[in-house]
Amino acid sequence: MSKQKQEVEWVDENNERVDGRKVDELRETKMEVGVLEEADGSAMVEVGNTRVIASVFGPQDLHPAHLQESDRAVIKMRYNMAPFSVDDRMQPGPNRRAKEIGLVAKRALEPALELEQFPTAGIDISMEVIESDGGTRATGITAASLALADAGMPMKGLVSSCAAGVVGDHVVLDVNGKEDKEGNADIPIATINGGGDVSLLQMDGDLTQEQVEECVALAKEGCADLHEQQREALLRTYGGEE
Amino acid sequence: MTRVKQSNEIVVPGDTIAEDEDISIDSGAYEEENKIKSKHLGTVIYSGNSVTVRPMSGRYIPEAGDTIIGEISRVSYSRWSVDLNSPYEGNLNIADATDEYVDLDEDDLTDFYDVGDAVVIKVKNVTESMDVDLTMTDDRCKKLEGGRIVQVPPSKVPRVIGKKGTMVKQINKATNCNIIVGQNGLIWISGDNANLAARAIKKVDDEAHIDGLTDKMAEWLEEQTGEEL
Repeated sequence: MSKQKQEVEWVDENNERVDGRKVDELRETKMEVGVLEEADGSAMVEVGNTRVIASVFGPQDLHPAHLQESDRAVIKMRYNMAPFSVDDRMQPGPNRRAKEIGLVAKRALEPALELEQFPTAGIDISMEVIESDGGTRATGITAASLALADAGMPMKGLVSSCAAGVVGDHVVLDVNGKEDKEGNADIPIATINGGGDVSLLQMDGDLTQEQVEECVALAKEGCADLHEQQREALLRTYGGEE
Repeated sequence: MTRVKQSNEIVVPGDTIAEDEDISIDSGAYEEENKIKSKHLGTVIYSGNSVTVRPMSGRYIPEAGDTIIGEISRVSYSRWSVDLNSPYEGNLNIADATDEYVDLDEDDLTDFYDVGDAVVIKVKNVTESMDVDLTMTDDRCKKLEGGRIVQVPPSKVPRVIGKKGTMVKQINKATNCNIIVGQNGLIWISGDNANLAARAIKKVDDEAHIDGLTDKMAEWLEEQTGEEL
């Protein structure tokens, strides 16, 4: 790490950020459903340079049997970053961070799913980060929810997720890799069905109470936008006009 | 009283289907704040005073009374385990398999059904913890010899069968194949023209959301066989 933090002009006089976006603008987002042949459900989501493929297998027989729950299905969530997903090669395999993200992603999705319909069964969800440029957990949750819908899971609504953060003195939507690493703080959130129900909220960094409220409000708007894009991606694949 | 979505429209989970509607929910939907919303990625179907969302995909969940196609996966001392193309495995006990007297220590259960055999089988009972009891004591139940099995999502089985069986009868007539459709989405086809029958079923699967599919399939089958139905 450099001894002196380099001064970055996060938002210039034209109200543009380091990558040319406005403060309340999402990165360019692409979504595709059904990208894998063998999985029951799959989806790829690209948010700027971040790219995640999610797959769903199940509901299926769950092993080892001691993990089974007699009244609902159990989700096994995997978050994995490819060794080539970051600027320097990453040591492959699970680590503490991947475990944590797998857990929070699972908890973000669970409230939207009707797991009681499949007692003793297991659902395997995997989020593979192909390329990482900030916001991988949010992108992963968005992709996993599309994959679950693709697999025909009963759910209350799609889960959409994005982050808002503070860079310099500005509250910005959907922080990218640079803003995430060098900015002050970021708050990823997930909402169910594009509405007010928040199923994930994490915070990391220094910010004031007002900024937290601003961030959450901004991220909710971003999620509503993503939710609309998720709907369109599903309808596009499944032959609905729109 | 407004129907936001019409019949045959495709919805995603969480989409509002109807608002303030005096209509009952059959399956695949839930009610929230006076709105009826979809649980699945699927197609809206109104029938009379109820609404259903038919999912595009999903696993088969056994229900008592279903006639399905299964594969024997294990032979135990006094019962068979059957793979049902579902998260849950089925059990077939000797008493439900045959009327003959079986001496468990002398007779070989594989003489009746062996691992890998495909069977048409009926779901007798499903417990709350999803233990599935099966039975062969139904006229339609039998061991399947020869032929092949193709797969469609279980939610599309009604479409493959058609109204009063019109769709499957039509494919049967055009291709001269024996076809047995299991509620679990497995379909057994046997006959010289099994390829065409399999393609026809795939087509029904792909275009399940289209109106008047039976007529469209009739045209397609005539085109393929060059014969009038």
